[in-house]
Amino acid sequence: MPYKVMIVDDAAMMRLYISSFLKTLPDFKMVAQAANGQDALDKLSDHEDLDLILLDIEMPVMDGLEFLRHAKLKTRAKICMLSSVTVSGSPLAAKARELGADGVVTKPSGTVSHDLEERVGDELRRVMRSLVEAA
Amino acid sequence: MNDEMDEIWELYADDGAQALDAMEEALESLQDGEGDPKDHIGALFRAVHTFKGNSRVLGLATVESRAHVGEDLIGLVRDQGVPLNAEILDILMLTGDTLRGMLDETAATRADVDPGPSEKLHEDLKRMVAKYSGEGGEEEAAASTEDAATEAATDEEDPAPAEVEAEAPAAPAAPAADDPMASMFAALDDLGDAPTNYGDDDDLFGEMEDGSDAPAEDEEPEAAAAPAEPEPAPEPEPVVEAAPEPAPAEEAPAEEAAADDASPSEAAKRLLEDKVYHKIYSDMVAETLEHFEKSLADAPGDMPADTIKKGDGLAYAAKQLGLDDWVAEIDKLKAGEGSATDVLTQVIKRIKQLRKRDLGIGGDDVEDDAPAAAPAPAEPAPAAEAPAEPAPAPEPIPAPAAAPAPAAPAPAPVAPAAAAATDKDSTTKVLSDLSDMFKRVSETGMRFGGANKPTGKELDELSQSIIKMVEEQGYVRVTRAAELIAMATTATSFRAAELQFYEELAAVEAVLPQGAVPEDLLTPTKLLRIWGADNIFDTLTELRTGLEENNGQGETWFVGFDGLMRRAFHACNYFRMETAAQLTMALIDLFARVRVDGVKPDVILIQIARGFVDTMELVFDALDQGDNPDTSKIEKLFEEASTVCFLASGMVTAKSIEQRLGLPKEFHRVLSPDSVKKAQSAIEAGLNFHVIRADLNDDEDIAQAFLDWVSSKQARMITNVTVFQDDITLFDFLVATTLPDDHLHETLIQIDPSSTKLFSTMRLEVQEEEGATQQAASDDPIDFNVAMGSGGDGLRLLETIGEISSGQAMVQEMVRQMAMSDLMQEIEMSIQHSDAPPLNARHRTILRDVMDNHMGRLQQLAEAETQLASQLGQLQEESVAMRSRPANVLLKPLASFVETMARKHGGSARLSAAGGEAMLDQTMITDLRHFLKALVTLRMESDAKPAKFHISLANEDDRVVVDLSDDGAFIEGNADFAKLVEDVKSKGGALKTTSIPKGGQRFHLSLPLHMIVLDGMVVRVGDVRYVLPIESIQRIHQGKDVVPVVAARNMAMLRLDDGDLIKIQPLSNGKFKNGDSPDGLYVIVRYNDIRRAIPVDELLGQQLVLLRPLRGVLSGMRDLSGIAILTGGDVGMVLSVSSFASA
Repeated sequence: MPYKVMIVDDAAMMRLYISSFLKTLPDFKMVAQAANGQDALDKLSDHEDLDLILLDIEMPVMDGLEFLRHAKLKTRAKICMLSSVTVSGSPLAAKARELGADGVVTKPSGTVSHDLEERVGDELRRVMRSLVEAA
Repeated sequence: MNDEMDEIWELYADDGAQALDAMEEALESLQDGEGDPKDHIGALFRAVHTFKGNSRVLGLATVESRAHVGEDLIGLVRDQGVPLNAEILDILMLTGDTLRGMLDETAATRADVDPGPSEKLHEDLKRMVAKYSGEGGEEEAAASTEDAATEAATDEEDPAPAEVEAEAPAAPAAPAADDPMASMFAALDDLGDAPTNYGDDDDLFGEMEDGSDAPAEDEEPEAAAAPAEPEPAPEPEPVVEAAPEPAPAEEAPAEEAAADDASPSEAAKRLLEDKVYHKIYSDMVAETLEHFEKSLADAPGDMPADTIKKGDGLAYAAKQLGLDDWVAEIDKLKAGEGSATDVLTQVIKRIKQLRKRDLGIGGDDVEDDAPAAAPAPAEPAPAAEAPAEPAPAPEPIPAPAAAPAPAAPAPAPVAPAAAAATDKDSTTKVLSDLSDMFKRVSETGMRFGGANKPTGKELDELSQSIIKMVEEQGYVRVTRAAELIAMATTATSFRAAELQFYEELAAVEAVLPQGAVPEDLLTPTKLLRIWGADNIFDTLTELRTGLEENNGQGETWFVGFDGLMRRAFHACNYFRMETAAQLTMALIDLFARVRVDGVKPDVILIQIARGFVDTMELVFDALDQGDNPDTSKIEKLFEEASTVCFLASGMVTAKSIEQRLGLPKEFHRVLSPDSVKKAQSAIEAGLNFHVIRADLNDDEDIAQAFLDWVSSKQARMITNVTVFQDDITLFDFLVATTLPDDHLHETLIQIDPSSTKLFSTMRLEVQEEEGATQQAASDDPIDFNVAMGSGGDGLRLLETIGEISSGQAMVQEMVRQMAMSDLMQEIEMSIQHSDAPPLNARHRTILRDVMDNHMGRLQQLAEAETQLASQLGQLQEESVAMRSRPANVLLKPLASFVETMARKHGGSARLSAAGGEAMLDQTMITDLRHFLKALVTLRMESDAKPAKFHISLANEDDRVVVDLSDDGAFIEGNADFAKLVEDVKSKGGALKTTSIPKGGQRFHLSLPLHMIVLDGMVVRVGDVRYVLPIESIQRIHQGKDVVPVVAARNMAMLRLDDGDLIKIQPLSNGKFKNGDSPDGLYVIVRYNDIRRAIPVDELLGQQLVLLRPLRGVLSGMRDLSGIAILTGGDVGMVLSVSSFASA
């Protein structure tokens, strides 16, 4: 039974990108997407059995940090923040941890010449697995 | 995948266009002054942020970089209060236009744009960010705010502001800007004997043994005489406030999660202090109560399932917030004890009570039952009886921590806003009260360094005093930190507890509204920073020792490292060095990741950490001296730390694989750690590597067959890259296979008989590891720089350069000899000695022309070789310089060490120093540190009781000479001293001691310099080659005018042409014992006024050599300062002329 994942990011491209990545992982399945925190909050009730939420920080309507607080109290899912900052120690990443994010991972990136799985890299995969397995 | 890539590119174009539309719209609204600028700026930021992120995903580095710096500029407006002026609007408009052009181009070409056309915009944006963030200097920022038009002129006047200004932006009133250390000491003076450091009776690193835990200047006489009452510290606010709590590892590892389970409430309860959490949870409670009451109204026979479910939801949220007693109450819904109506009634009542206690929300219906809680009264009220309530009577509910008994009469219901105000006021009061406690904490810690160590009882009382002040507020984490103070048994454990105590209090302070704390109050945040700055030299010394001795390994080490880096973090914040502070956090994070993975820290990571320590020592030293420090290296280290995130997870190995396989360019930086593992495994299995190009777009059968094959036992797919050929997307697969080449081709033909959709484009030859590694090292400037930063790799690199230099010298000598020989003459002589007829004139002319031509080329070659030798020498010297550090790196911490040791033994002592500017190799610094600490320890632990030390250090010829004198009683050398003398000797040095006539003792320590480039004359004496430093050679003498000295057997004098007599002194290998060289060849050396004539067999020539330390059996040899690798690989003994001449 694959772990159920929701992707919350205002950039459609990033959602597609990550969902494509998830397809390469047989133990994860994307079951919902949301374009901002409010959208995600609305969808939570339809997905009570989520295992993991991959959450952007900068979003309109409701940002990632606010949604994090809601999700922390209202779902059992582990919450992994996707930071665009390459090195931890940024105020937002620190804030996310302080507010209870289970993990903070740098957003995937890479060159266009290689495939998605390679590009996303090991870190996201490793953190995702460590989070859901620790649950 | 191809479809997905197409879709991603399409979305990139669509999303990008939308983002840029949003950007333009926001900019126009801002320009026209429509609506709330805050909303537009937020939208503007998000638009550029999204665009940047999308570009980054697709590896469009140039596009990303332009968007990134644009985002930074908008971020300053959004988050830092920079006013949005016309200058910023204009450049953002231009940025929007530029990004749109880039979007069009990249969407069409699916490749990054040429950076050239947008380079100026990029630079302008960066300059503007620097200016408005204060990194461009305060004058510049001020000028630009008032009048952007003056910017250019300001820039010209101050084109390169000092780094300290960049890190410490405009704050005219900030004392740190003028004399940071002085201001720090002033703040400390204001604290009386407050934040400081203690004696050293154990070690944060557990395995350290040298007791390097030393104080900073907190015990300056001025500080000691400071007023006892704390005064507000004149500490400037940083421009960018750091996170209130230093972050642990970036992701929560499983084992940490498990550890957290042990005390979830402590970790989570603080979340409720967050306003948003408070509101979300309050709403959930209200909603749940409403549901329960509705359910109760229905008078259910059994507990309704939806009610239980609703309760579960709230219980889960409560658990997340650490409110375990809520969970216990709500779980009664499921216990089935009593009727559903009774249970619901009771649960509703309890929840309301809890809500009042923990959330400050309550109504009349709970007033009689509510115990004193979060909005706590100042004093515990006497216990009161529980008022009459419908059965079953509720039990008193304990407050989160040591709740006082319920008040009677109950306080009036507190509205949320009023409750929040009460919280704020009470928190501020607690912080204010605690500021007096800081001094007591500090003084207690100080006593660990002296004879009057605090007793367990005293620590317990201190702890309890703190707990009493904070417990009522429900500050469980502060309470826990206070408990640690009681548990401290050593200076180090006390300091760790103290750090945690201040940090937890700072976290409490951080959630207070802005302005809630009086500006003149010495807050925990201010204190933390002062405390960190005060301890910084000790902190760095301990970090260095830990890194040197433990190399980043071990759980104990990491705990110590984490604490020390957090102290450094606070010190950096004191001086508003934002990048340095971030670097500390990044390093903690990187080491934490390594720890989580259970692997040995990458050597590069260790090097960066060492580089951080080296750099910060110089930076803080400069600040201490009132100078502007050079912080450029911090930026560089930060960049390297950014890279090492990737390096630590496989970049280094990936590079090695790239090199070993000779992968073509398109595979550069493609290999993931998994791919690297696969490739490494395939290399070890001896498989053959091929790049197979595949067009799998149209023929699913071929695609499937190929994928089946690469999944079979015959092949392993390592990775693949996408290749764009016109409008077709192809893939290049890196495949390792067991098949030999011909079988592979047959297999591919079987899959694709046309051989047009599937074929091998390249067979890769696996190179030997060593060569590949060397190649990788030589190709990687980051590795090079890091390696040169400090430590062993720099040493290895330097030695390699030395060996290359030696080899080159050999070639040069051969070429020189060839160039000097007369080949024509040699030919003629050879013919003459043979039976061949002599050359006639014509032959001779032809041969002469050929030979002349040949000789000309040889001359040119010799000249080129000479030039190359010069360049290599320069490279070698530069390499040596990169390893060098000023002696202050050694002397400053030594001063702290002296003070600490003195305190530890119940006294006080100070160290003055001279020669701190002398440059020393890192290895030398390490040796000296060890010896000098040992000497100081010897003196402090004896009855000498010195109060003053003076140290002078200088480089003299081939040695570093240190004089350490003190005013203590003279003590003859004991066994410890004798051992130290032997240790010094084993390093080729000497240690002597004398008494000072007016009282005191002097130690004279000399060590041979090594890892320096020496210009030497190589001579042969018997079979041994010696290198004599050129600068000590006075002349070469050939002659046999030797005058025996009758009075001294085996002694002779050499008479020079001018009649001077010089003592002949043979080298120590046993030859020329009588001093008479049969060939009459002598090298006259001079040291000060002493001259000696050294008999030698042969002069082998002048060479630049790398002086290496004597090790092993060589370390006992007399009169040598080291060894050197010579031309042709021979080892040369480098003569210590000072020692030789003085013998």
